[in-house]
Amino acid sequence: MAAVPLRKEAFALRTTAAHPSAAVLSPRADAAQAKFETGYRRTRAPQWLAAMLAPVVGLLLFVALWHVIARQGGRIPEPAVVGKAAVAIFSDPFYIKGPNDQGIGWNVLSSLKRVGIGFGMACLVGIPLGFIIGRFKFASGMAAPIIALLKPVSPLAWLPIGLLLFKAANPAAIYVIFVCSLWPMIVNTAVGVRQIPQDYLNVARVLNLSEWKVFTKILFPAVLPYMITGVRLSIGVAWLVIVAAEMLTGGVGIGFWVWDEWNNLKVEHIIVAIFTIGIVGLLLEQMLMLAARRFSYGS
Amino acid sequence: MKKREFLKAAGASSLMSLVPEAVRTGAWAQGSDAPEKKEVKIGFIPLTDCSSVVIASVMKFDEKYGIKIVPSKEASWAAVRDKLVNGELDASHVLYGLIYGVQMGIGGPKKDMNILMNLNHNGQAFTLSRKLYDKGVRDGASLSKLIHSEKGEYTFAQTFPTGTHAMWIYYWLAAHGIHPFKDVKAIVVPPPQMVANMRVGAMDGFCVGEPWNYRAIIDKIGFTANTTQELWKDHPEKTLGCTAEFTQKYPNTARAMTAAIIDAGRWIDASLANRRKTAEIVADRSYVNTDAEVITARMLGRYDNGIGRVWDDQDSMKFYNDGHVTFPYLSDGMWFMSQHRRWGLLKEDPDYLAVAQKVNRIDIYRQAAAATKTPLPKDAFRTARLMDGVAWDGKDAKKYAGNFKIRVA
Amino acid sequence: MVPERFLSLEGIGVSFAASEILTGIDLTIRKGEFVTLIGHSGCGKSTLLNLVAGLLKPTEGTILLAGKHVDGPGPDRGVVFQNHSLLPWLTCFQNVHLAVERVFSDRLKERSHEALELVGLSHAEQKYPHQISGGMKQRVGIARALAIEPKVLLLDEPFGALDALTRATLQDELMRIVEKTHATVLMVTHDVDEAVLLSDRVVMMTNGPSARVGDILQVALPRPRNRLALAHDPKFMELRAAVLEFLHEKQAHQARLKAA
Repeated sequence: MAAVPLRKEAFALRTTAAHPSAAVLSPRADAAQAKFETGYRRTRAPQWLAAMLAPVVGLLLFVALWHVIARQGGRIPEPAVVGKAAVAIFSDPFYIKGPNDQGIGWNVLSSLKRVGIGFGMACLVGIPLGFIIGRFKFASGMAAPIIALLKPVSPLAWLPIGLLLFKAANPAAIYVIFVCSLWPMIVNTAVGVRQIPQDYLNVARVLNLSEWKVFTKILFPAVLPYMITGVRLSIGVAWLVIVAAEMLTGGVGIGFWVWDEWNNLKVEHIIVAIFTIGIVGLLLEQMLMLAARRFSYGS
Repeated sequence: MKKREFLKAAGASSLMSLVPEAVRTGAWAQGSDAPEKKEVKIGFIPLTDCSSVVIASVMKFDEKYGIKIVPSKEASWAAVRDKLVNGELDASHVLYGLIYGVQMGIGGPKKDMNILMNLNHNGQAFTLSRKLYDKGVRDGASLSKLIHSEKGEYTFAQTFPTGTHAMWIYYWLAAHGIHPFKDVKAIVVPPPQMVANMRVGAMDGFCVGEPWNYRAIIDKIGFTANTTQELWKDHPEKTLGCTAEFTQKYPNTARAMTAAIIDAGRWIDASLANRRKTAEIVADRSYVNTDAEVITARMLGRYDNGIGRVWDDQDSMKFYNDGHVTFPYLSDGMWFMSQHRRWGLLKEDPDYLAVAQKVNRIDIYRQAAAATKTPLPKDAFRTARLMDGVAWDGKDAKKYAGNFKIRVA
Repeated sequence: MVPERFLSLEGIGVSFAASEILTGIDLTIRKGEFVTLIGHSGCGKSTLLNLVAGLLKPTEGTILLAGKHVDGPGPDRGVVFQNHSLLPWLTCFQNVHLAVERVFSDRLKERSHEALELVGLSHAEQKYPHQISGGMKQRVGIARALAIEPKVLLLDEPFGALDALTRATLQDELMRIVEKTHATVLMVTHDVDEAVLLSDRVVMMTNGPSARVGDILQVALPRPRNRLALAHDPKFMELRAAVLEFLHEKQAHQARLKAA
C-alpha cells in the first residue's frame, strides 16, 4: 500500500527536476524530498521502474489494439501467434542448414556486416569531403548542385548501377549503402564546419595557432557533434536501405529473410522480422546517442 | 536448310554415334573427361518446378558425375538474369523465354546464352479471381464475353516480360479474342504480390507456376480457369540455363550438371511415392519454404480447380517422360522467339533456326543422355497443336509469327 | 622607444565598403597604464580594440607597440573577449595551456598553473567550462590572456555579460592582478563607473559613423582604489559626471543635430 503514493511522489520529484529552467524545486516537492530523505528512503520505488512505466503502458496498449484488429478478421495474425513464432525463431538463432537456410542471428549479422562496411566507407569519404566543402566556399559551390541532384535519389535506383560496376550482388549492396550514407555525412560535417562560432576562430587567430592546432584543437572538436548527427542519420538510412537492397539481391541477410517469408506468405514471420529490424535499428541509434552525449560537452 | 536436313537425317542412332565411347559407358569423371569445376552454384526460384535441381543435390545424383550442386535461392527472375550474366551463378533453373530474351538483348543485357536441357513440362496455370467468378466467368470464353461487354480495367499478371508465363497468358488471352495489351492491362509482379493483389481485388488473373495457383485456391481468392497443359500439352517450361561462356570454359561440368539433373528428373517421375517425397523435400525452408500440402496434390496430378471440378491430370508436371521432357528441342526455342516477334519484343525476324542451334546445346545434352542412358528423340523438332487450334511444327517461324490475328504490329 | 609611447596609434582610420567607421584616431599609451575606451554603441570602440589586437587592418595609419608595427595577431597582445571564448572540450587548464604552448617552449605546465593561480582558480583547473560559473569563465579568459605574458592586455567589454555583483568582484580582481603584474591595459567598456574606477585615463569616443577621439579624461585617483570608499568621494563623482556629460549631453546633442 505504501508503494503507490511513494511512486507518485517519485513522479512529482522527477518531473520538476526534469525541467532545467525550473532551478528551484516547488515547495511541495521540497517537502516530499525532505520526507524522502528522512523517513522512506529504504522503501522508495527505484527510479528506473518509474521511468519504465509510461513506455510499458504504451506497449501494452499497442499490443491490445493489435489483438483487437487481428480479431476483426482479415489477414493479420494475433499477437499470441506472432509471439509463438518469435519464440520458435529465436530459440535457435544461429543454426546453419545450408546456404539458403540459416538462423535469424546469422541473417542479422550478415546485414550488419554489409552496413558496417558501406557505412564505414561513407565516413572515410564523407567526413573529409564535408570538411573541405564546409571550409572552402568554392568547393561548396562546386559540390552543391551535384549533392542536391543525387541526394533525393532512391537507394534502390543505385542498385542496377552497383551490379554493373561490381558484377556481384554483395559488393553492389554495400555500394548502395555507401552511396546513401554518404550524403548525411557530407552535409552534416559541412554544416558543422560552417557553424563553428567565430569566437573560437578568433581565439585561434589571437593565439596565432598553427593550422594543425586549429584543426585538432578547434575545428575537429567543434564539428564532432555535427559529425555524430551525420553518423546517426547515415546509420539509420543504411539500415533501412540494406533490408530493401537484400530483398532484391538475395543471399543471407535479414532483408532476404523477409522476402523469403513473404514468398511463403507466412505473415507472422514477416511481423517478427519487422520487430527484429526495428529493434536492431533502435539499438544502433541508442549506441550512437550515447556516443553523441559523450561528445556534446554538456551543452 | 542444309543443317536442318542433316539433323533430320541424323536420327537417334546417329546422334548416339557422335558421343565418345567413354562418355557413353559412363566411365568418366576421370582424366580429361572430369568436370573442370567441382562445385557449381545453380540458382533457383522457389517454385515447384525447381524440384529436379534440388533433388539432384539433395539425393546426391551430382556426386555420381563428380560435381557438387549448390542450389542458391534467388530473389527474382531479374536477379537470376543478372547473376547469370555477371557470373555469380554458374547456371540456373530459369524461364525458357528469359534465356532467349537475353540472347537477343530484349529489354536488358545482351549475352550469348545456352540451354543445356529442359527441366519440366506443364505444371503452370491460369488463375482467375473470385470476383470474376462472381460475375459468371468460368473459363477463357466467358472471360472474353465479360471483357467485351463490361468496360473496365482488367489487370493480368505474369512473372517476366520475355518469360514463359508472359507468353502463355498472352497466347491464352489472344486465343479467346482478348488483346493482351489493348483490351486488358498486363503487368509483371512477383508471385506473392499476385496473390496479395488478387486478395484485395486489384488483380483479375495471373499465370504463374505451382504452388501459387493452388495457394490462391486454398486461400479461396481465385480458381484455375485452365492449366497450361490445356493450352499446350507437354509445353516447354523451365530450363537449365547458363552463359555460352560457361559452357565453353567448362564443357565437362556442363555435361555433368545436365546428367545429374536428368537422373533426378527420372527419379521424381518414377513413382507416386517419389513424387510425394519430392514434395516434402522441396517444401523445406531452404527451397520453396512452404507447407508440403500446398505442393503435394498437384505434384501427384490431383487437380481441383477450386470451383467444383476435381480430376487426375495425365499431363501434370513432368520431369522426365522417357527423355521427352529433358531434350532441348530446337522448335521449342524457336517458338519463344516467334512469340517475342509476335508481341513486338523483337522488332524484326531473326534467323530463328540459327539462334536456336546456338542456344540449345544438343551436343552437350546428347553426351549427358548417353551417360544417363536416356533415350533420345528421333528429331530435334516436335509438333504441337495449341488451344486455339493453330499448329506449330518448327517450320517457317516467320510465317507462324506473322499469321496471328491478335499481335503487335 | 619612449615609455610614453609604448603603444601608439597614429592617424588610424577604418572604412568598410563606403562607410567610414573610424577616422583620424591618434592615441598613445604609456607602459603600465590602464586606459579605457568608452562611447555609445556603434562608435567603433571594439573595432579600435580589434585593430590593436591585429584582427583587423586599418585602412590608414599605423599602430606601433614597443617600437614594432602591429601587423596581425601576435603573442605580444593578450585578448580577453566579451564572450569568454573558452573551448568547451578542454579543461580550464588545457585552455590556458593551449595559449602557453604556442608562445613558450619551457615550463609550460608551470606557467599555466601560475596563470590560473593568479586569477584565483587553481581549484578549478581540471573542470570544464560548462562546470564553472560565468564569472569564473571570464577569469580563465583573463588567465589565458596573461599566461602568454603579453606586452599589452586587451579587454573587450569583458564583464558585460555578467551580473552586477560578479562584475564588481571581477573588477576588483582585475585591479589586483594588474597591480601585481604591472600590465599595460586597454579596455573597452560602456559602463561609466567601471571606466572611472579602473582606469588611469578614460578615452571618450564620439558617435559613429566616422567616430574619433572626443575627449580624454585623466583619472588621478590614488591606487589601490576601494570602491566602497570611492562611492562617497567627491573627486570620483566629479569625474564620473564628466564622463556622463560627455556621453549623454554632448553626444546626445550631436545626435539631435544630426536628426534635425
